[in-house]
Order: sequence, then structure tokens, then C-alpha cells
Amino acid sequence: MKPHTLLIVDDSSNIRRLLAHNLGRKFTVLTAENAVEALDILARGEKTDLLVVDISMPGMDGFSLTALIKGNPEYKDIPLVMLTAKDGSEDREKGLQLGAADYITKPFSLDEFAERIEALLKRH
Amino acid sequence: MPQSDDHTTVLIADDSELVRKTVSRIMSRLGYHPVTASGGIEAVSLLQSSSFDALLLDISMPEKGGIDVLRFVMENGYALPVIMISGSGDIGQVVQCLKMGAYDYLTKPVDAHRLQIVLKNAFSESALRRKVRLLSAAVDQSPVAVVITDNRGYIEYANPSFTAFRNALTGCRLQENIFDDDAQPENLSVKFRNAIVSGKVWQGDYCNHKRNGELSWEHAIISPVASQGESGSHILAFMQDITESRKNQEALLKSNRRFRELADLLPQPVFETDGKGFITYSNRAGFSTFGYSRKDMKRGIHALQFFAPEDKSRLMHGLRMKKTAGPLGTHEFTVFRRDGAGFPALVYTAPITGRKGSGGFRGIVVDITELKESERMLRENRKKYLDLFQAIPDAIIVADAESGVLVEWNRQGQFFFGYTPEEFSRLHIGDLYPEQLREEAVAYFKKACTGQAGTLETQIVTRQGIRIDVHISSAAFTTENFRCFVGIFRDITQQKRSDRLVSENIRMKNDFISTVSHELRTPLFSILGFTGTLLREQDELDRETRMEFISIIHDESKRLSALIEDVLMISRIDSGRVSYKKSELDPSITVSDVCRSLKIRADEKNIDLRLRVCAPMEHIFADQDSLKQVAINIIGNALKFTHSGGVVQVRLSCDAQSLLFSVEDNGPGIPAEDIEKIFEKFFRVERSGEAVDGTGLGLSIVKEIVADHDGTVEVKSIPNQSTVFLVRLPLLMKP
Repeated sequence: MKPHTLLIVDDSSNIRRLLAHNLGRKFTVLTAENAVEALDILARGEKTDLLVVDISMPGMDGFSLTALIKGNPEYKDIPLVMLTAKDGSEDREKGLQLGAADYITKPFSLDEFAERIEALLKRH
Repeated sequence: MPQSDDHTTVLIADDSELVRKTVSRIMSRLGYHPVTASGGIEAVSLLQSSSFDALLLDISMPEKGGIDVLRFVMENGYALPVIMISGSGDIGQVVQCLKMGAYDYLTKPVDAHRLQIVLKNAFSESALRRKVRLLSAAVDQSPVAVVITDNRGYIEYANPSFTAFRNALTGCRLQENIFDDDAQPENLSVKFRNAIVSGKVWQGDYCNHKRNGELSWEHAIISPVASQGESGSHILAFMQDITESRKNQEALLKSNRRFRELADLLPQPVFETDGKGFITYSNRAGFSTFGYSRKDMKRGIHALQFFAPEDKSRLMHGLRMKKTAGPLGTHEFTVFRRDGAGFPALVYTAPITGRKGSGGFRGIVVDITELKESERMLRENRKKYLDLFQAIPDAIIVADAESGVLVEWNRQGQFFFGYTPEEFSRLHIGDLYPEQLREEAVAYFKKACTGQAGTLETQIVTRQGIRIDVHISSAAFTTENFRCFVGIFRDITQQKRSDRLVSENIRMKNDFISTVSHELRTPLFSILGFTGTLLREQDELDRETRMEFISIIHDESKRLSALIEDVLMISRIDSGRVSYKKSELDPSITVSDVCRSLKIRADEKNIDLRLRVCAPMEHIFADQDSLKQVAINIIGNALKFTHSGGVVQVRLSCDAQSLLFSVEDNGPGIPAEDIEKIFEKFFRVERSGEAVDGTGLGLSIVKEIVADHDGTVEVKSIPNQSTVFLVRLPLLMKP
């Protein structure tokens, strides 16, 4: 039994599949195609130790989702990592300000990503 | 005095009544008028009260005797002959009376015949005396010098006028006296002497020294006088000092000469005419300018012949006016030389006035050819610069530096600001700016006056209240004693807009690059991630998973490839580097091909893809690959967004000018707020809960290609009902 559960929110099914496969070796992985689905999962009371949120998503984007989660006392302590294909430092600032614990720009090394998530969970 | 003049009155004084009566009778008989006095006292009183022509005076009378009366007459200067009557023949008394001035004497008894003779003689001598007195008084008082010499020239008499200017002494020779040889013209004294000797009258002028040593001019008439039957016994000379009149005459001549010389010096023709208009005088310039000679003038040159026929009435009118009006006037005329050449001239004229006013005119002709020419040049120059000023495509405004009031503007200035000239002339330079910019602009122009303004970018406001971005350059200059500044206004709206466009382009380019990199990263990340996973876990993964990953990699690679193609396409179109191979083609064939190739995708999604080609189908002039791309992108989009079971209808038809290519689907439609954006690069209509793949460049490419084929593309969408894309392309014009 893996000790931690991650919730990955990304509109790209390929990315979800990739992350689920790779992170799945160390963590229990839940995936959501969009913000609404992610909030559903959280509302269902599924154990979630860390959130990975893609910024560019149709409908509610990653920033709005982060703001909602960080504004909710029930979920605000769940560490959240933002995922983006954009490298603008403005977006990075914005994400960190909203309460994201980390910010990762695609493409990235999946091993390194796993290590950073472990580190975050340990710190928590 | 006539002998028997009734008015000849004779006074007879005798104490003997008999004598008185006798003598009175004789007198009356002789035709004289006798008045008697009975004694000396009565005689004196009568003499004092009346005038008598002669006095017969008895020597011996009681109380006052004849001698006393005679004395009275003489002492009081009575100019009448006194004839004494003596009774006793006392010769002593008679002699005394004659010595005292009595004319003659008679002895009693008075003989009538003798009395007649004595009286006659007395009267004639008295008349003679009067004449001599008159003559000598005339000669003495005459301002003309009178000299009488003997026939050898020795002066016997000189009147006071002569002695006033000549040291004339009786006994001197006249020649020596009047001719000062130093001052004489040659031969004068010889001529004079010859004239005298030959008994002729000589008359002439000569120069001489006066008594005071001054040189003077004299006029003399010298003639021989025949006296006492002896011809040429004396010489009479009249002399007059004519220095003054000669001086005046000389001055007159001199001033006359000076006037002529002055007039000849003038480069302008000067002329005079008589009352009929004939030229009576012309200076040298007049003859040379007009080509006439003095001889011509004598033959008669009429002033009118110098003027053009059409000017003559104006000229005559002007001259007529001049007779009554002011002394000098100017007229501009074309005047003609003798050879027929004309030139423009100002003719100043004035009537000739004075005692001998002839009714003529005098005047001066000023050739103004050069003046006219320089005036013309000036006008032309002025016009040239005015035209230039007007033609400058920038708005130019000139304002008075002191007051700031506008004084001049060019056509573009008027057009640019929208004011009429009347309105402009009432404006201040500050009125051309919006209120909040006014102060800055006025300060800028103030600085221009000191010559250090440079340029200013600001906004002006037109009469209609429109604000326009301008670039102003200014300068100051001084003209006709007032200082102005000139402002050149250049409309920089276009420049600003293009500046904005450039920065917008740069921003869009940056956005584009950023978006492209984002779009590239996502599939690349997938490819990298899955290939990494496959490499690392190749032994652990089952075949099914491996196949799944490989097909993902394949899909993402295809997406990446399509994306790169689209980006390159857009980039080529944007930079104008795309080369269309346009040719005449039948669009229905191209579109049919596209539909066939997309049929598989439609079938996979269970979408009914229909194509309808409406006859007759015209040809278009287009690049086949580009047309194919347009069809693929639009139909592909329709397939992408239409739900399973939906219908996509492709329709081709023609109207008079265009090919109409429409694609209609019954998909979810495009939200109204997105309609505007769908042709923007990388815009993708968001659908909640649904990820739609694609590059986001398809419609941008469509729009660019259609525009490059002079066509249009439009879209109409009703949400949850239908979306129609309509492309119009121009038909090939049939010859």
C-alpha cells in the first residue's frame, strides 16, 4: 500500500496517462480531466495528499481552481503543484501567490518531478 | 505868351490919374487887361493879392515910391517884368532901377508905340527866361548825366548827376573823363572819336570806374550840337549808369542758361508745349530719347504724336483738368519713339503759367521700363513663393509674435484646422489647441521667438472639435517690422497608428512565439515522457501498455508535425513569403477530393458528411494546395466540433461574381462572445469538460489564404443549433 495519494488535474488525457503511469509507481494517483471533476473528487472525501494542477485548461483554469482550493479551509492545507507549458515568470509569481507550493514547467524530468513531490510531502 | 491875350494883366502904378487913364487906354487898345494902383502901397497890396504879367511903375510917387515897390518885387522874387515910368528923365534913378532888375523904362509922356514894343519884348524875354529856368532845372535834376563840351571835347557844363559819378571839372576833356582805358573794350574810344569828328551821333555801352573806384556800366548818347548857326560847335552827352539793369539782365541770362544746362543734364526728357500742343522746348534727353532733332521741332512736333491713340482722350482729359486743378499730376502712358518703339512712362505735367501764360504745358517723361520689369519680377516672385507656400502639404500657420494673433496660413492649414480665413484672422495661436495643452503650446511658440524651440509633439483641435496628433516645428522671423513665428504642423496620426501597429505587431509576435512554444511543449512533453518511460520500463511493461504508449507517441508526433506545418504556414503568409501557384481550376474537384479524404474521420465519429455541388460550376483562379487547405481546415473543424450522429453539409455554388463555398454543421455552435476571436491565432473555443485537439491556427490560415485570393470568409452560428462558414472567392473572368 502506497502511503500518499496524488490528484492530477490536466485536460490532456495523454499527460494524465503519462503522469499516472510514472507517479503511480510511488503514489496512489487519482486523475481529473478538469476543475469541476477535481472538485468533485475532493468533495467525495477521497484522501488527497497533494494536488498537481495544469494551468491551461478549458473552462475553469488552474489559477481559478487553486484559488478555490486555497480559499476552502477544508482543502487549503493540501500542498499544490502547478503545472504549465508556459515559462512566463508572471504566471509563476501568480501561482505561488495563490498558495501553490511549487511550479513546474513542461517539459520536465519525471524522476525529478517525483522527487520534488516526495520532498514536499515529507516537509508537510 | 501871346500879345493880345485877354488874360494878360498889367498893373499900372502911378499917382497921376491922367497917366493912369492914358496908359490904361493904351493897354486896352493893345489887348491887355489894365489894373491901376494910385500909389506904391496900393501896388504892393495888389501884387500880394493878385497875379500880374507885367508892372508899369512910376518912379516918383508920394509915400511909397517906385524904387521901394521895385525892391519889394525883386526881393520877393516876383517873376514879372517891371517897366519904370520916369517923369523927369532922371537918369540916375533909371540906372538904379535897371541895376535893381527893372526890365526897361519909359519917359512921360508915355508913347503908345514905345510902350507896345517894350511890353512885347518884356513878355517874350520873360517867356524865354521861364523856358531856360525850366530847362536848366530839368537838366540839373535829371538822373541822367548831361555834359556839354566844346567841339574839342572840353567840358563846358556838367550836371550834378554827372558829377556824382565822375570827377568832372569844367575844362577837362570828356574822352579822358569818361573812358577809363583799362576797362574799355578795344577800339571804343577810337570809334567814339570818329563818330564825334564826323558829326554823327554815337551811342553805346561801356565799362568805367566810378568816382569811388567801383566798376560800372554806362550807356551814353553823344551828339554834336549846332549852336548860333555854327555846326558842331558843341557836343552834348547823356550818360546813364546801367550797372544795375545790366546786372539784372546778366543774372537773367545766367539763370536762363543755367536752367537750360540743368535741363540738358537731366536724363529724362523735359518739354514745353504751346497752347496748341506743339513742342516748343525739349532738353537734350528729349531729343535723344525720342529720336527727333531741333530742326524737327521747328518744323512742328505735336505732343500727341508721342502717345498711343487709345491714350489720347485720357491724356486730353487729364490736361484739361490740370488747367483748373493742381499744378502737377502724374499719368502712366505708353509713349512712342520716332521709330515706333514704345515704352511705359510716367508723364508729369503742369500748365505753364505767368504773365505770358501760353496755355501750354511743361512736363517731364520718366521711363519706367525697368521699374515695370522689376515690379513684374517682384510680382512673379511673390506669386511663386505664395504658390509654394500654398502648395506645401503641411499645415503652416504664421502668427504675430507680440499678440499671438494668426496672420497667415496656407491652404493645407485652412483645410487641416477647418477654419475659414475670416475665422482664422480672429484666432489666437492658443485657440488651436485643446484647453489642457494650450499653455504648453503657447509657451513653445514663445520659445520659438528666441530661436530655440525645436519641435513639439502635441495635439491640436480643429474647428469641428476633432483632436489630431501633430508634430510641430517652428521658427521666428521678422518681416515689415513685425515679428512673427511660423509653425509647421504635420499630422502624425498615421505615424502614431503605425507606431502602435508596430508595437502591437511585436507584442503579437511575442505572444505568438510564447503560444507556439507552449503548444509545442505539450506534445513534446508527452513524447519525451512516454519514450522515457518505454526506455526505462521496457522489460516491465506488458505488450498492451507498450502499444498504448507507442500509439500516444505517434499521435502526439503527428500533432506536433501538423502544428509545425501550420506555424510555418502562418509564418510564411504573415511575412508574405508564401508563393501561391495560382491557376485556373474547378473548385468542385478540389473540394470533392477533400471530402473523400475526410470521409473516414466522419465515419469514425459517425457524422454524415454531405457534399452538394450546384450547377453550373464556374472556375476560379487559385492555388490548388491552398484551396485544399481551406477546405480541410473548415470541414475538419466542423467534424471536430460536431457530436457523434451529427450532419456536416458542404455546398458549392456560384453567383454572378463569386464562388460560394459553405460548410454547415449542426454542432454546439460558437458562443457569441467568441465569434469575433475564432480567426485569431491559437484561439480555441473552450468547451467545458471537453478537450479538443488542434493547433488553433486552422482558421487563421483560412482567413489569410482567402484574403490572398481576394475573397472573404464569414461565419454565422446559432448555439446548440448550427454553425455556417461561408467562403466567397472571385470567379475567373471569362474573356
